[in-house]
Amino acid sequence: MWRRQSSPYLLLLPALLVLGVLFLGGLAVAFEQSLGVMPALGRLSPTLDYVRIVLASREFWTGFGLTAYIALTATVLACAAGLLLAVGLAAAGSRSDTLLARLPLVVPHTVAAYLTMIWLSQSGLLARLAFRAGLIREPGGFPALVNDPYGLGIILTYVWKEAPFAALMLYPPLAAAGRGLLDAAATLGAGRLQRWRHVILPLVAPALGAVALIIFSYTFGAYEVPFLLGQTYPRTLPVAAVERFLSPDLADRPVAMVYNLVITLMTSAAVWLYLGRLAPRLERGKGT
Amino acid sequence: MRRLSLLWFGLPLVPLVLWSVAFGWRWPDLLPAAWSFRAWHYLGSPPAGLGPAVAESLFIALAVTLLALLIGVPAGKALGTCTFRGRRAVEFLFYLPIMVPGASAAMGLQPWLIRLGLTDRPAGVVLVHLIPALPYLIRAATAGYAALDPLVEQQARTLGATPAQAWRLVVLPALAPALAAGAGLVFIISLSQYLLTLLIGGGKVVTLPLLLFPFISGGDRAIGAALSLVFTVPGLLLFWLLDAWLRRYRLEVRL
Amino acid sequence: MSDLVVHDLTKRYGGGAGIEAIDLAAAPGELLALVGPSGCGKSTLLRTIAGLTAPDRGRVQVDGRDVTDLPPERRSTVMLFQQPLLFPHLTVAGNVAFSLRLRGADRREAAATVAGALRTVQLEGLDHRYPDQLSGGQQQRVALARALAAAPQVLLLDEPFSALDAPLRAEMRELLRRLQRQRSLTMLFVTHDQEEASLLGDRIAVMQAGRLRQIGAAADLYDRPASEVVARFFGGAALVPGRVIEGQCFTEVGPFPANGATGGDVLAVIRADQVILQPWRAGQPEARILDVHFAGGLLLAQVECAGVVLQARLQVHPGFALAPGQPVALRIQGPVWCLKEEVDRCPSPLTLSAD
Repeated sequence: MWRRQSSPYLLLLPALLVLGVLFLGGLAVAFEQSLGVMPALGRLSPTLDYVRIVLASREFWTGFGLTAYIALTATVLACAAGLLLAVGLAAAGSRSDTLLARLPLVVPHTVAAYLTMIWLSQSGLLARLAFRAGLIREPGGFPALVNDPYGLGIILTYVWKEAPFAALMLYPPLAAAGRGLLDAAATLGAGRLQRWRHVILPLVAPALGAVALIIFSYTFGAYEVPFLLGQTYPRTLPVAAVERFLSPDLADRPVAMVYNLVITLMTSAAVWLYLGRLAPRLERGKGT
Repeated sequence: MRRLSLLWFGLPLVPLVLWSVAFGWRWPDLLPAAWSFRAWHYLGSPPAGLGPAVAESLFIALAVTLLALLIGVPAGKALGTCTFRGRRAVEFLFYLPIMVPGASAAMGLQPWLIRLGLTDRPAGVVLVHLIPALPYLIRAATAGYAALDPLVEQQARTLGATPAQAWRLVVLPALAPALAAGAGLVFIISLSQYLLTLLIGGGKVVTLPLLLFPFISGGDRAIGAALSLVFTVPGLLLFWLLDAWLRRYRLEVRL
Repeated sequence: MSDLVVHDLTKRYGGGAGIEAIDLAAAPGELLALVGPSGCGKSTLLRTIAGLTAPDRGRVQVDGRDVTDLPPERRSTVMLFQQPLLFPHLTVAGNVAFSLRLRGADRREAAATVAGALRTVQLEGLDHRYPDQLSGGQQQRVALARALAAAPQVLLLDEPFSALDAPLRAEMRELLRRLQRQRSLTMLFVTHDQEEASLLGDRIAVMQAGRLRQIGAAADLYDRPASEVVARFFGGAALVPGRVIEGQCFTEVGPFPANGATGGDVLAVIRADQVILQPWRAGQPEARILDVHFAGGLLLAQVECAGVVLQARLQVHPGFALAPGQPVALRIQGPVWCLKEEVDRCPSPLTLSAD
């Protein structure tokens, strides 16, 4: 008769079950397998051997370094580009442009990688334009941006896809503050650089941190783009993990799981940082 | 600003269109040597398997969206309106799959899904797609519920609405924009999944991304371009429609 | 026309703002104003009557029918809140027609009712607008029209005008008054503004700490407050402790005839117009002017005498100097209403209305 308040736990149950079983459960099995426990093969006792093998392998550390480097660079560049985009959007004051900024979400990473290939490969469009401009004489003259040791193609693909996302997240605090803040700073005698340091950056700082963590975790754990645009060696951790997982040799399975463990730990740390430190600050910022 | 956005986003897609109708586009030509609809003809023919792949993708995406709504809306209600113990732990769990790649969990799940007979089947793929997609719907539903004024529902009650009527006529329309945005996102996420579909679908469940992938890692460029367009353009349309519909509510939804 | 009877209504909350043993009766077509300091439970009372909160004890009757166990949608009470709470996805017409749509009313009838309601609140022609296209005052009027269209037997209003600015508030009060006369609607109107309560209410009920302190016409509450909170609420009076012996009240500021209490320790409710100021002559007990200001054709002076601060009202030209610091002679002109403050006794509405 009276409206009874449904228990929050009951409401949460389906979601908790689904994510608990599928996500946490899957990770738990992966963890178990990384310790070498594989009931199918009759191996029931945990061992740290596989962990030791991986931590001692050069292939792993090279892969780790490459993954971290790509993720960090892509994050920094995407955030910088996104910030510039957001400032531009805020200055222009038009709200309808955020729609266009959301469009890259629709382009899957596979297609984005394809676009990078079309434009930036040594026989790609930019190379052909350079040839027409007389800057190079043959495909080899154009710098290797795809399947290259510096992962440039991968990074550029991420920047293309993630910068608009970053702009979308950085735009609200700037828009909320409005032009007024920048103008006020200018009248108080702040030069261009000072306006950036003392007005813009503090405004976006919490959102910037959040965006950076999101982009970092995503690019650290992504598979498609590094697989398509990366070299055969070294491989990023996610690509190596999948390769080992699909390998017919079942001894590769625990190794794949150790790789997965590392990926999970790195990205979980980012979530913890985000929720623990940045989200509360973001909430406070919304009040202004 | 709009011009910049158009440039940043629109221009890179142009060669896709060109490639899809190209017949031989070799170095160092800036335009294809000849034009042909061969790639499109191929896609239209049965051996290409485009029809079944599209159907499979849409079916799975729809199933994922529906399940996400059924599971995520109550969760959003709990997070958006109630205070309870363990809230931060729950938020942490729900937030994890957004940043932690679901592939690791999928690899762990595989032996169990084999045992349950869910691999190589759309059902299994639907389940794993929920991992990266569900958190987004929960976030959207949480935001929607948090923005609700509880008094509005009570106002409806005093005006004569039963709880069911209040929900249908007042609460749901208020939630609709947020839920629509969330559902749209879930749909797109499921459509674009490659690795998860491959790991659990075992290559037997063929969605658009799976069809596309081989062409990109080295195959007929023209067909790859045409497929990419088939993939991207409907998604664009969906987003544009969604935004136009949301605008009707004169509300801006932020996730 | 229906009446509203509330009997022994109680709702306890852990954190306060509950209600305790409320007995209340609003006559058919009466506008009963409910006032009190914040946290006194006025909103809780309204919500319990509306059915949005379940009471711990007590009954609610509308038009003789016991509705205590009924959900809010079956009670024929409609509540209006401080915010208009219009449904944003419906037009003005859609909002007003909401209750009719719930009942599956005939379309043409509904349209006629909607038109009538909008005409009553003077908002014809706005049917196709959306709530976000209306001003605050217009929104609140649509909310009122929506409530009227539901044809309630009792209208419950929870400070519906406090979010509006002063001239708008006055307009809405007029509208409500007119409405009440035209439709003889029984209304329970909560406000924290004493003036609004006096202007609108046929009778006023004063609440404090979850209890009903006094119900009566404004004049009764002003002349003969039953408790300190009522006396303070109607303002302009100083409460001075004293003792009554044989009809005379003896206080720090002098003796005067007493009304109300017949003996013992009391609080004398000394109104500003009962404080007489005269030029001071040496030898008389001294009172000092603290502040003087002009207010609506009169002078209001704050005077301090024997540690007690009193307000006095005088003619604009009293014929003697009235500056801060100035000594004056002070006399209290009785009879002064004196109350014996008993905190837990709650006067029954029946005995008071017989006054």
